[in-house]
Amino acid sequence: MKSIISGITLVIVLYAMNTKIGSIPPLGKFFDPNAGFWTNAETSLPESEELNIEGLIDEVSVVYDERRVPHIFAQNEHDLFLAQGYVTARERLYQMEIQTYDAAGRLSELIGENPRVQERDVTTRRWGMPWAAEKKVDVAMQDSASARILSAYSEGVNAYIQQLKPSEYPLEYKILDFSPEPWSPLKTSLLHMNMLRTLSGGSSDDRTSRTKAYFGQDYIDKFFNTDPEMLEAIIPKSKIWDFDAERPPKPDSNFKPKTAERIQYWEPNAGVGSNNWAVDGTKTASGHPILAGDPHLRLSLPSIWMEMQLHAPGYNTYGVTFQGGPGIFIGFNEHIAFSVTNTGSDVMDWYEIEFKDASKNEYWYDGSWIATKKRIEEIKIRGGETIIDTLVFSHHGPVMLANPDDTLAEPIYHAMRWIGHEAGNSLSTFIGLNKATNYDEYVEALKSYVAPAQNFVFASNEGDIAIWVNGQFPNKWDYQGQTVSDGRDPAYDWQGWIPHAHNPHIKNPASGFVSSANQESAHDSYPYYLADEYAPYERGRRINNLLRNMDNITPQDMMDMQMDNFSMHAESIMPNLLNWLELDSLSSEEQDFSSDMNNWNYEMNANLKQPGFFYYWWQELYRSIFRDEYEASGASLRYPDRDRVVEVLKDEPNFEFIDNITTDEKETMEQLVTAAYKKAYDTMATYYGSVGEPWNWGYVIDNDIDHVGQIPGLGANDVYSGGSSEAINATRFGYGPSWRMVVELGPEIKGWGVYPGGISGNPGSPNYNSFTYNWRTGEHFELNFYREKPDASLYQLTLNGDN
Amino acid sequence: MMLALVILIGAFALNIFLPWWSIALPGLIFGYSFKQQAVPSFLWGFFGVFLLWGGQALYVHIANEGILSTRIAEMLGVGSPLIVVLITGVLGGLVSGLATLTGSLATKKKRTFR
Repeated sequence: MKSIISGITLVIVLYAMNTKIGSIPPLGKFFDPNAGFWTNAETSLPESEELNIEGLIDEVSVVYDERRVPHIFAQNEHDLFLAQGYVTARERLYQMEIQTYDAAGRLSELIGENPRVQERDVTTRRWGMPWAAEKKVDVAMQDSASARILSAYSEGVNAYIQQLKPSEYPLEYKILDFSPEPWSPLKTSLLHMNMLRTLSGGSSDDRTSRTKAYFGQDYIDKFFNTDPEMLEAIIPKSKIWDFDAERPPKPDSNFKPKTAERIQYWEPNAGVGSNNWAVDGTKTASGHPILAGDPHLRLSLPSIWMEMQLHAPGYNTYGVTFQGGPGIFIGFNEHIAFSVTNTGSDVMDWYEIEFKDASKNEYWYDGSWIATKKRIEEIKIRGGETIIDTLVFSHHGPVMLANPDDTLAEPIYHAMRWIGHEAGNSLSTFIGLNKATNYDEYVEALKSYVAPAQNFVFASNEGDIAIWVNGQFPNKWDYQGQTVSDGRDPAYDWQGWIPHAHNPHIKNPASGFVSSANQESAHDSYPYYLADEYAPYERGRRINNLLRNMDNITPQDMMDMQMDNFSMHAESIMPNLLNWLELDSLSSEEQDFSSDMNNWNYEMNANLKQPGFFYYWWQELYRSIFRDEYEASGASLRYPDRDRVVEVLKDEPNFEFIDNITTDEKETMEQLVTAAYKKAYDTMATYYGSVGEPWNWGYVIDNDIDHVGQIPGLGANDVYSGGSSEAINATRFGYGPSWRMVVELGPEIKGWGVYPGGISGNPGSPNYNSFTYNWRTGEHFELNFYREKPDASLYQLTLNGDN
Repeated sequence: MMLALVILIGAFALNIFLPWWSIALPGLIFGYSFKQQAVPSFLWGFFGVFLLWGGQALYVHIANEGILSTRIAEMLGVGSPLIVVLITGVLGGLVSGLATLTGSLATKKKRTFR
């Protein structure tokens, strides 16, 4: 009897320890030193080896340099991209795969019952992410060159997956208890959708509509339709537009949308931005152009990028790769260098839809009822019941209930028109750039690009520099799509595209430099309408101010400039804040610190106390000006950008929003600034104690680089650093430069670069987070750009075809 | 003592090419054949695989300079990577102890009561 009880207990324990319970991995499997997580602890460098890889035509060598950067030497294009897929999967398989699950709305398949995850999956499906990924991959696969590359890449990933034993699965597979799926070009397309969501998936149409309804057109004009005077557009005033623009006519009707609430719009992603610039030979010490680029994203581990060199006949490109996509995204070859920043074009618009009845089979458009299209989405849930969701499409795109809580008697529906849904082949642009040898080939490569729109900066060995604001842009009437549009009226539709040759661009300007920092794409003289929402002027203006005054530029100067922490925002408002501050109302400690603020140089440096204080002071002031009016509306409204607010406050110290409408008193600027100062002091004292080292911006900046799958313990917390969203070094709160690159063109092209993280995606490897120190201190690595396969290496792989 | 040693060696050999639950097999077999009392059977069984899994984990922890065990400790919220090593040993030990106990109880009929 006892033996039976004991035996049953044993079986239960074995079963329980082999099963994932909630978020707890199967304990026996997970802790097993021979196959569980312990086997992911790297105890020595990988060894050089020869491997048989199915599908290779010729031998491929992968040389890992002293920082473990892989350099792939292949003898043909097919083998090059097959090897890239293999090498990437070897380092980053989990990162590649989890992002495709996210983009496909399939996270619940891995995580199980979790309302937050389920909601994300449902939203992802409703926004047409998998639907558009399928459309895009169809187009890419029709282009034989792209199809060959995408297929070879998939083959390489699958060659790696096929030889993996469960004990060799990356750590996260063991934590979440799942197995890798075969890769396919569709997965690469899903990753592209993820990038589109991050970079072009924001919209404030609904919030602008309500803001217009509450505060009126004057308010919209004042804050959203007026450029700050300090703004310098990416394509400057000096550019002459040598074409005639044919624009669609603005409709006479002034459509007023119903006020819809609560739809889950993706907020414009404020953490995303970037810098890039190029200077020509007249401004450099060497007489050759120098190009610099640093894309800003939400930082993660494994790091977003991986350095790699691709070498084969027709190719010799070094730079960073996007995990799951073939080619180099930001980098250089023996002839040219290129980098991108995000373009703030309005490429997501919302249309109010009138359905005939609850079946949603027909909607009213241009005087008649038009049939909708439908698509069924099945959302599988691990250990739960599958959710079936029916998507409804108008000709604009997917239609969503804008008031899902049924707070209104009559449902309001919004259809989404988004560039992310547009079929196209943006991969060929990057492959083209990887191979381009001069300006014309760079422009040729840009032509096929759809989205997310980017500012592509360029420099070549021939001495050319250029920047193209590049993407497929809808040809709009002025301010089209600023607010929610009329889905019944064709005049509100996107009616054709801006011809590629008319996209804003400039080559070899007299100034000797080109630059971009997500600010307005082109000067007001540009004859098309692109958007009403861009990054504030500060970063772009700072870059231009520095470049204008620089001569005999060296690569080191450019690297230092990427680490520039100067805040033009602080420079523009601090003198006024100190003037408005009523010293008499402050305690003696608060007064003491105000002299520190007086002596500040506006550098957002890690070891200064003022930046953190300024951050809170401005935030409190901004809130105290707008919050009362905005909250009184009871709706979610669009807030103005800080650069325009600064300008208005300086010009109109009696701006009516300064009064706090919840009090009888009429507040003054002085009162608000002083109250905000005291609040900021209070906040700093509460979180960081009395004035001292803990007030340093390096701590206040709170840089947590999270794990890509949000698994605790696998990120890097509290990375001490300077920076700010308005500084060139845009590091803050876990966002910032995800790769800093400087390239000096010339007969001997040279590159420098650094990113937070490492080559390996394995949290148990010393190379998982090995570059972060250099990244935060601005010590770029000199990049090993080989002309031919080197003899020395850390270790190398020899890949042979399986024949 | 001998019981722990043979279980350790058996579990080590099986665990190399069989899944983790194979560490229960030596306990069942040797627990039965050693014919010891329930409590010592459990303890020796526990001790054998506690040493094996704990020892293997400790070796990896040291060779990896604690990179991974520190992250796992943070993930599990247990404070120290050495606790992760300890948990590994205890989990293995529990399974083996229970298996050895089961093996020993299966022989009970042959024992005489005093």
